[in-house]
Amino acid sequence: MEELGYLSLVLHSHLPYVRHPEHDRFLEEDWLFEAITETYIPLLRVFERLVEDGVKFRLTLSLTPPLLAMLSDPLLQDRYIRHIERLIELAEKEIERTRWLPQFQELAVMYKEMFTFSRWFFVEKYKKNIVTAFRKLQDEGFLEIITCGMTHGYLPLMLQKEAVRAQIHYATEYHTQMLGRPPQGIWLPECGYNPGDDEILREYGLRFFFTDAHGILHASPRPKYGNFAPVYCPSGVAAFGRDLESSKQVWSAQEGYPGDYEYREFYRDIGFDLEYEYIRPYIHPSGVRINTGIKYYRITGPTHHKEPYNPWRAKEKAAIHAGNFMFNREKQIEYLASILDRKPLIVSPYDAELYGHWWFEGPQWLDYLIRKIHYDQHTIKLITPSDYLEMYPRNQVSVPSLSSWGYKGYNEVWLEGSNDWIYRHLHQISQKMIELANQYPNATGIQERALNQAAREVLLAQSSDWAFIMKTGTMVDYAVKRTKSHISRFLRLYEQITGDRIDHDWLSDLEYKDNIFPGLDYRAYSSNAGYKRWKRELKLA
Amino acid sequence: MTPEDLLKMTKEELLKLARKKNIPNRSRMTKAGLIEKIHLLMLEEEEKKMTEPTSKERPAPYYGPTTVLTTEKKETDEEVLEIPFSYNQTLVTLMVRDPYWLYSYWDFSGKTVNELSQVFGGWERVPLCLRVYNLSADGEKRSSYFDISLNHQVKNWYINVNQPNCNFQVDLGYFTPSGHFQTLARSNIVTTPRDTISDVVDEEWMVVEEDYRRLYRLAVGAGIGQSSLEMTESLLKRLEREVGSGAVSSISSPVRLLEEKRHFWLVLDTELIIYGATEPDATLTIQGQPVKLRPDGSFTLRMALPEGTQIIPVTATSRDGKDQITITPLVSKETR
Repeated sequence: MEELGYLSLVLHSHLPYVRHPEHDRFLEEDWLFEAITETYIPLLRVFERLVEDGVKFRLTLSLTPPLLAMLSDPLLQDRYIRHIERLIELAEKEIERTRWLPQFQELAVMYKEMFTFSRWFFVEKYKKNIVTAFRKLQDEGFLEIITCGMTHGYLPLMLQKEAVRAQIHYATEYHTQMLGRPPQGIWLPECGYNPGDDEILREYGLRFFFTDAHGILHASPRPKYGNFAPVYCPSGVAAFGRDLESSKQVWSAQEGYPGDYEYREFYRDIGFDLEYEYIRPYIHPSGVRINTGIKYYRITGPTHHKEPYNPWRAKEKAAIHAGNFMFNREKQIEYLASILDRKPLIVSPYDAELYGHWWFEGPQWLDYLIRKIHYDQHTIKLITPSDYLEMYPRNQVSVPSLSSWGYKGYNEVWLEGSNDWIYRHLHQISQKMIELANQYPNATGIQERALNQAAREVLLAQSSDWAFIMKTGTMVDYAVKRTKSHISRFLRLYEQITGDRIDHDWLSDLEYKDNIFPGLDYRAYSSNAGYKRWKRELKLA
Repeated sequence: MTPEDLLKMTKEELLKLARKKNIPNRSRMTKAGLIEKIHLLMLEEEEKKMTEPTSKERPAPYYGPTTVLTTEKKETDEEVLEIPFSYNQTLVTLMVRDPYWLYSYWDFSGKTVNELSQVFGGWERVPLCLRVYNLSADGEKRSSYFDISLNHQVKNWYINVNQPNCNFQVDLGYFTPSGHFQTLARSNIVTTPRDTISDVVDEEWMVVEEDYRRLYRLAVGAGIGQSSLEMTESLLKRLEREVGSGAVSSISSPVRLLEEKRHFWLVLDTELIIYGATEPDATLTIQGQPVKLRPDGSFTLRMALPEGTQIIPVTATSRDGKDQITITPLVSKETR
C-alpha cells in the first residue's frame, strides 16, 4: 500500500561557541559536555541501532558551525574526557553510598553504565570526534545534515546584507569542510526569516529552509496547501512551514509529553541535593552547586515531594507516547489527504537538546516512533525536505512572512528591553568590517590575519544566544561579557588595522582564544562586484 | 590587578584580600578557589563601573567631540570590556519588532551637538524630533507621518505603529525656530510583517475560500466555525503560549514545568560515615562487601541512611588469613 503523506522530523542541534583555554575549568563549557552525554551520544546510539536492525528512516538534522567547531576542537575533546571521567567516579561513589537504598542504587548503576558507554563511544569508537558518527549516518543515507548561520546570528535583525551573507557564506564553507558535502538546506537561526534573505541562500546553493507556521500561512500570495507543502520564494529557494499540532505535543509545557509524571525530573539533581563536602569535587571549583547530570526522581506531580524514578515505567510511557504521536499524525495525514490534491507533508522541527538533556526519555521516544512508523503502519513515511522536492519539484511561488519560532513569533525575543542595546554596536562593527574588507582587498601576512580575526569577532558577537540569555535572565553576566568582549576586541583590531600598528602578541592571543573557523577569509564581507568572481572560485562542491 | 598577579600571591595575601572583599567561606577555600572567587569579583566590579550604552536610567551623556572610541585606553593584557558609549556619528536606524511595533536607535556626532547647541543656546533646548513616515507599497512615496518629540537623554525608542504589512522610515531631526522640520539623518526602510492571511490570491494556485479556511483552521488548531479573524488570533495566542526555541535555555535554564509556589521548606537527610584503620595489607569487608584500604590502612565508607536498623559487621582479615577481627555496630534511624 502506498503512503498517503509524509512526516519530516527535523532536529536542530546548536550550542553557542564557548571555549576558554585561558581557564582550566570553565562552567559554561559544561553546556557542551552535558549535551554530548545526554543528547548527542544517546541520539547517535538510537540511530546506529536502527541502522543495525535494518530499520529504514530519513531524518533532517542541523549541526551548526559553532557546534561542529566545538565537537572537533582538541582542547574541548580532552576536557570532555576529563568531565566524563569525573562523572564515572561520582557514579561509582553513588553506587556505594546508596547500598541501603536499592531503588536509588539501581539508578546509580544506570548512570554509571551510561557514562561508561559515553566514554567508550567518545574515546574508543569515534576517537574523540563524534562529528564522524554524524557524517557516517549522512553518507549512509539516513540523515540529511543541514547547516545554519555561521554563529547562529539572528538574521532578521541584521542591517547590512553583507552581514547576512557572511553568516551564510562561512557556514556553507565550513559545513562542507566538516561534513564532506555542501548542505542542501539550512535551519535559519531561531527560524528567523526576513523576506529577501532567500536570495542569499540561493547564491550558496541552498535549496530550502524552514519557517514557523505563520511564516507560510501568512505568505503572499496565499499558499494553496497552507503549511502542508512548501512554497518557492521568488528566488527559487523552498520554504517549509512548521506544523503546530505536532510541535505542541512535544513542546508544550502544559500538554506536552515531557511533562508526564513518570518521566525523569530535571530539577532534582544530586549537585544540589547532596551534602556539600561530599559533592564538592563534582560541582564548580568556586564551590557553587551545579547540575551534575545524576538525577534520581520522577516528575511525580505538581508537588515538591518527588518519588524515585523508575526507568522501566518511563520507558513504557515513551512507547505509549510514540504510539500516540504516530496515531495523531496518521489521522492528520488521512484528513489532509482527503482535502488536498497532493500528498501532504508535516514538518516537525525540535531543538535537538530537548531530547535527552531536558526530556531524558526523548531519544527512546524517537527510537520507538521511528520503529513504529517503519513496522506498524502504511499511512505516513519519513522523508527529508530534499526528498520531497525531488518528488514535487513544482511548487507555488509565494513570499513567506517575516517570522521566527521565538515567543510571539516575530523578533521580540531578541529585541526587547534587556538586549536592545546590543544592536547599535553589532550594526556598527558589521559596517566597519564591511569597510575593512572593501578597503583592504589584498591584505597579506599579519594584516590578513588581523582582518580574519576581526571577522571572527564580529561573527561571535552576533550569536543570537547572547541576546536570548539576556532575555531569559540566567547566566546574563556571561552573555553580556561575551557580547562586550567581542565588540571591544573587534574595535581594537579595527584601530590597529587602520592605524597600521597591529599588536602581534595580542592578535596571536585572540587567534588562540576566539579560534572559530581557523580557515576563514575576511573577504566574504566585501561588498564590491569583484568579490563575486572570487566567490565563484570557491570550492563549495 | 590581573589574574597573573593573583597567581603570584601567597595564600595569606589572598586571604587578606578576600577578607577585604568580604568573601564568605574564605577560610575554607583552597588557593585556587580563592583566586577564582577574587577574580570573579574583580570582573563584576569592573562591569558595574561600566556605563550601559542605551539604558534609559543612565545620566545624560557627554556629547563632546572627545567621546570617540575609548578602546585605546588600555593596551594591557587584561580583558578590555569597555565598549564605546557613542560612535560620534549622527545616524538613525529602524528595526522591526513585530507587526505592530518598531524599534529605533539614534546618535549624534559631537559636531552636530555643538552646532545645534550654538544655534539654540544649549543642547537641551534643541527641539529634537523623530518623524515616522508611512511609505507607499513601492516604498517611493511618503503617504503620511507622525512625530515623536525626543528627550535628550534617550537614544532609542519603541514605536507603536499598529500597521502590519506596511513600509516605514524615520527621520531624525529638529524643528527650526520658524517651525520647519529639519532632517539630520534618515533611516533605512523596514516592512512590518503580516499578521494574518494574505489577500493576494494566485490564479494558477487557486483554492476555494471555504477550503482554505478549513486548511488554515487545521493548521492553527482552532475550533470549527470561527471567523478568520478569530483563527488568526488563536494562532498568535498559540505563538505566545508555546515554547519555541530553547537551545540555550534547555541547557542552562530550562523553563520550569511547575509554577513554583513560594513557601517555607526544610529537607533533611542522614548519611552514615563508617571509618577506621587496620594493617595496610589486611583485607576488609563491610556487610560482606570488600572495601578498599588507603595506603596507610585507613578506610572510610559513606552511605545514605534509611529508616530502620542497620547491622553492620566490619571484618578485617590479616594478610596470611590467620587473624580476623569483626566489629559490628548497630545503627537505628527513626524520624519523628
